[in-house]
Amino acid sequence: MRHRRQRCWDFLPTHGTAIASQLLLIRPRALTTPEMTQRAPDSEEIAVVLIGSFNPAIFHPEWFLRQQILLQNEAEEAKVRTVSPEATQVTFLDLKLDVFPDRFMLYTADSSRAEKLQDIVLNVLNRLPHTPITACGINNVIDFDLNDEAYWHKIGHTLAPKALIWNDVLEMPGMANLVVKGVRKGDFPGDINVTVSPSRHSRMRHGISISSNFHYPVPQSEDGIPDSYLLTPYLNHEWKPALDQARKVAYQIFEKIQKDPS
Amino acid sequence: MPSSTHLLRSGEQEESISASSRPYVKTSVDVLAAAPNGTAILIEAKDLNVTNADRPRVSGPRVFRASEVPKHRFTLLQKWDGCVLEADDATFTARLIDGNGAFPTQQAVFSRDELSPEEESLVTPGAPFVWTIGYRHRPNRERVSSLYFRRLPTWSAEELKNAAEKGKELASAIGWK
Repeated sequence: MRHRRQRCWDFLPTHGTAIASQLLLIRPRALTTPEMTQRAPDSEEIAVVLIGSFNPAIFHPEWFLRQQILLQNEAEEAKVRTVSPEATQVTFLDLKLDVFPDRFMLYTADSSRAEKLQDIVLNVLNRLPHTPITACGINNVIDFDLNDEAYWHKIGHTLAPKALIWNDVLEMPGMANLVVKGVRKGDFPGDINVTVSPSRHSRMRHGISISSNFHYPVPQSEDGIPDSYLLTPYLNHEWKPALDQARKVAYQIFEKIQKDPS
Repeated sequence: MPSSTHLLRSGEQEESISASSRPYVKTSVDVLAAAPNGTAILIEAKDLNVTNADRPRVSGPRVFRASEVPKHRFTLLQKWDGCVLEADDATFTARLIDGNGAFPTQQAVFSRDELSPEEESLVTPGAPFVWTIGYRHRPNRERVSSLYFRRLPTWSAEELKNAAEKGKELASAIGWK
């Protein structure tokens, strides 16, 4: 497979301009490498959650159009489930928006929409600069179909050993959810919460799900008002690390916990 | 729970919160229907001119069903961060950077036919975009190549002022004249 990829590169000019369709032939390492340590996830979900004070009623597709956040066709094709002062749920493209008085969430199960999701949140923050927002989470959930029951159990038993406690008090104990919290330092200090669990996708019977939550409690001024303006640089600065986090954990698991030779 | 910024997935909220602490929303609704699973569906179809304050208020779980979430799974093969270098009536040339660093920077020509009419107006030198290649599963797997032109907020006057000040500080720090 490696050889095949190199051949694809051969006809690309080292210097100069390629026709875009030639680049389509590139097969990235994530798919050409058979080892789990670099495998592309079989499924990926991305969501941004804001905690604060919102007016759900304004988040109608028409508002997004007037604010030039959505294009005409995108706003026209949006599906409005509910728009009210208490709750709003709208879907556009492959994004789902839920807004409640204390919570704003934009979600997609289509990772090709990641930047679109980011842009929409940045634009909402830009248009509503005085909205008090106390916390922001960048969430990423990736799933791998291991398709190997023994390996699936091995990962669970290694991450959550059963011998010391669980075998004596439970019958057939299994790891359902493991949450590990870490600290994020730097310009935007906060928590990193990583969850490992069996995949929720019914078609991935022996799948593993890894989710990361980059939680950022927005600093407050002395009078208790959150410095919401920090969210834009936070989302720009931490976006890529946040979306890389779950992959890092997954590849570490696959590297440290190897399949038993058959 | 209110300060959690976790993503709540399929029914997760209902499972993890006891009935007594489950967040409820008070609202005056026009239609209240019971879903098969026991949750309430609140539908508001109010005439905006009605200002009657005597409408009965009801309580209901404010959790939407997970089945409404669009689930077009996407397997990402490759993502390029692009920047338009030059454009003509039929094509545009862009510099492409692989965010993961697996491939060297490339320069490529794209046909404008790849874009929707709305997105075509965004093609100007310097415009950032993302080129995503992967498999979309809905439900059959199809190979997809999609271009998305970033729609980032414009710089505010304050941001420009701050950037200019930082630039000045940097220039003086290194003795630039």
